[in-house]
Amino acid sequence: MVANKAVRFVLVGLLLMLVIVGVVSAHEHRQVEGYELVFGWEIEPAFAAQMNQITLRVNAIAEESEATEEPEGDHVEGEEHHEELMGVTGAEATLQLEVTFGDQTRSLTLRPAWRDPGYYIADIMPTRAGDYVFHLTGNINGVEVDETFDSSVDSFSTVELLEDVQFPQVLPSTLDLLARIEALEAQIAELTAGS
Amino acid sequence: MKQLVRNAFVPTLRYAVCILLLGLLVSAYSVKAHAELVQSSPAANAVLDAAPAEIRLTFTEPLEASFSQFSLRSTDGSTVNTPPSAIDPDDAYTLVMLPGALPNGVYTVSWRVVSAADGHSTAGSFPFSIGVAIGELTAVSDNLRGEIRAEAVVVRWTYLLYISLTVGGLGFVVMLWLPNNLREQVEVDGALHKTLLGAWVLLGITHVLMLALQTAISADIPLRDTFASGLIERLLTVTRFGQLWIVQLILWAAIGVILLGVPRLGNRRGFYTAAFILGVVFLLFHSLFSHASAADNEGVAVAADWLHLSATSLWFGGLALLVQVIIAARKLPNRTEFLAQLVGLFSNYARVCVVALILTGIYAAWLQVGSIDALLATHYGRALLVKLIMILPLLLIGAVNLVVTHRSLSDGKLVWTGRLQALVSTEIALIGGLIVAVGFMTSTAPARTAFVPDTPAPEPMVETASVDDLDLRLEVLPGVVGENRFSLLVTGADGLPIEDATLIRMRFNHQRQDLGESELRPTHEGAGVYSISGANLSVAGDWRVRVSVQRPNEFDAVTTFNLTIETPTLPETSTPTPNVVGAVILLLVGSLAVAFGGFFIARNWGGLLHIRNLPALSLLILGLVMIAGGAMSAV
Repeated sequence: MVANKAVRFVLVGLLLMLVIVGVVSAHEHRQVEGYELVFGWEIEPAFAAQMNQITLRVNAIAEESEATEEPEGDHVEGEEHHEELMGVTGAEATLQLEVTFGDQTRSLTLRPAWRDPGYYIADIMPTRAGDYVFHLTGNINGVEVDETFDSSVDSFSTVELLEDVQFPQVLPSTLDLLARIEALEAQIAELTAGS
Repeated sequence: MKQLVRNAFVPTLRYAVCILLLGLLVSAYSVKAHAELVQSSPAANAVLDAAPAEIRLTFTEPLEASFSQFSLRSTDGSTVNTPPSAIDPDDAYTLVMLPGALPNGVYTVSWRVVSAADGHSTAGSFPFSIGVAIGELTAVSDNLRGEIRAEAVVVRWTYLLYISLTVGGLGFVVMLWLPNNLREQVEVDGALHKTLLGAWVLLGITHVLMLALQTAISADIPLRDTFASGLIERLLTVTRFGQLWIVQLILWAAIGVILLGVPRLGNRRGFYTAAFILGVVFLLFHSLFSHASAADNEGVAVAADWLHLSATSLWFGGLALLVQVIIAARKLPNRTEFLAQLVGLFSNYARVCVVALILTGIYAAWLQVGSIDALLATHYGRALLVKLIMILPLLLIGAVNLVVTHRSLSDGKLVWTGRLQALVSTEIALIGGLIVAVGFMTSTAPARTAFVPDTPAPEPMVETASVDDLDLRLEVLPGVVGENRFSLLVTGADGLPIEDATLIRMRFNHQRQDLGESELRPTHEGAGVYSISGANLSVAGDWRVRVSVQRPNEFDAVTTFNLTIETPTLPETSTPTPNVVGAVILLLVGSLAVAFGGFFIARNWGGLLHIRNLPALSLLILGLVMIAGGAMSAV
């Protein structure tokens, strides 16, 4: 009976987790030899125990020079420079992404977003609050990439406690519930053995 | 020639006395603190609808333009990009900034100024906000007045020592040695002259060190960095201290020219008199940049300080030369008779100095200390106590020399020649130590300013939390709006301190207002404690402090502390000086000064403006000015 109540708590909690809180553009921008990388969470701020995604946009930086109608001598003042960003496709095959938290590391799979060239996503549900470190390696069209993104240093979100956005009641976390269930199971086991 | 020199210097002396009298006739009473913030626009606590067109901070004392400024800080502690602050051209007490466009938010005005009156620095901060309906804010004082730089004490001590030796030595020669024809009985002129020259050279060196010290204090940099900083030229050219320092340098050089020229010049007394008068003026310029010059009643306070310093110099410098004469006189066949005469003359001269020291000291103690509590509880007060304790044996030795030594030498008791030398040497050592206390006093804020009565020690705000296998204890001191010290004690489940946290983040968010997030990263202090200071709690209300602890090979431990922050109650920064008490002190001390000054002039009568009467005459004049000031205050 008690166990059923706990399971209901878990289900309610999981349903609440599906609420999308908001999207902000606090992402980390890097340039790697003619390519721009934009890295961050799909949902920022990121919350623990909430489904999220790591997003990576890969743009090629193409520099165009347009001659003005009346160039003055051979000086560059007579030219206007434009940077044009073009999404790079196919990088999911050549880039690898790893996430580290504490002493644990695992690989994440990057996949291209539908109808958005150069935009890649990797599914992840951060189960604990804190600072996550991502390591992106591989190459983009032969250009080597070895970049580390750390939420305690860079401009993307630290994973926050879910209690920050829970309303009207702050629910125990899944980890807390697991601990309680384990404690209850131990009690049940004791009672069963006693009878 | 003698007549020529007299004609030249007696009018000079008269003129100097008249100037002094006029200067002293300015009266008022209370002391100011160091440059303290008294008014600001916007005010501390202000909540503005739009960015202010200008920000004005007004202080209790005129400011050194080159070393006084303020800046704006945002809630994350970073400095806001604004034009620099500057002294108001029409008001030397006020700093002004035209900040330009400022986005909505909370700002902390962080100021640091150097007083043009006494050269001491103060600093502090206060918050205000634009476009944010926040609760009440308040100013937070972060005064530097309690800090004492060890090098400042050493430099000031040596400086005062060589001032005293130079000016006091010249006074001994001019008022005692030359007028009484003692030099005809013992050949010590050369040694005395060398002593004066040596003191003059060392005074020059320490004068340069004083410039370096003031630069270090003004720019808040180590003393060793001052010469390479390029700031000395700025200090010399644009500050009041610099102007006074240059005048003193000229006076010092003039004294040197005279001292170096004396052996080739015929009439020594006239030129020594000139050098002595220049030395006395040098002391006056020293007093013009002292605690006394920060008093409202600057005229009386500076005059009293000048007389105090002059009396110390005459006593100490006189003793230094006296002991040389005593040593030289040991070979004389009639040495007891000679030394009895010398002691008698020096006692006459020293007793005026002692009386002047005591009376001006009483006035200065009232002016700069003001209460027994301030005497006992402040650096300045305790240094004064040390000074007073050291004066007691000095007075005792002086009394012994005046009565016992003088009589015994007059009776021809040879043993007292050695005792006299020992006693005078002891006096020199005691005064040298006493000047250390003075160096300490001049390096710290006056007790009246520094003393904060009945201020209980602040209690930190304490919050605890447990997360994973960690216990966290957060202390916030003082736990009110403004600058706080954040200390996090991290212990494991076994109760042992966690020493290997690689990163601890404290992120601050106001729970009611959107002030933005600010962050601190405390550093390891040992015993599981990680601390840092910051003004992140910039407004009153409920704050969430998100703390995360990173350790090697462990998951981050993240928890939340909720703090309710209130505005602080500001303590009184200075005790107002009651005019009634001030009037009584001035009348009393002034009367005594007049009485003693008149007595000594009458006793040593040789013409009112005779150089020998300068200490007693100065005491008399100071007494009259004090009485006048006291009477005006009482009315």
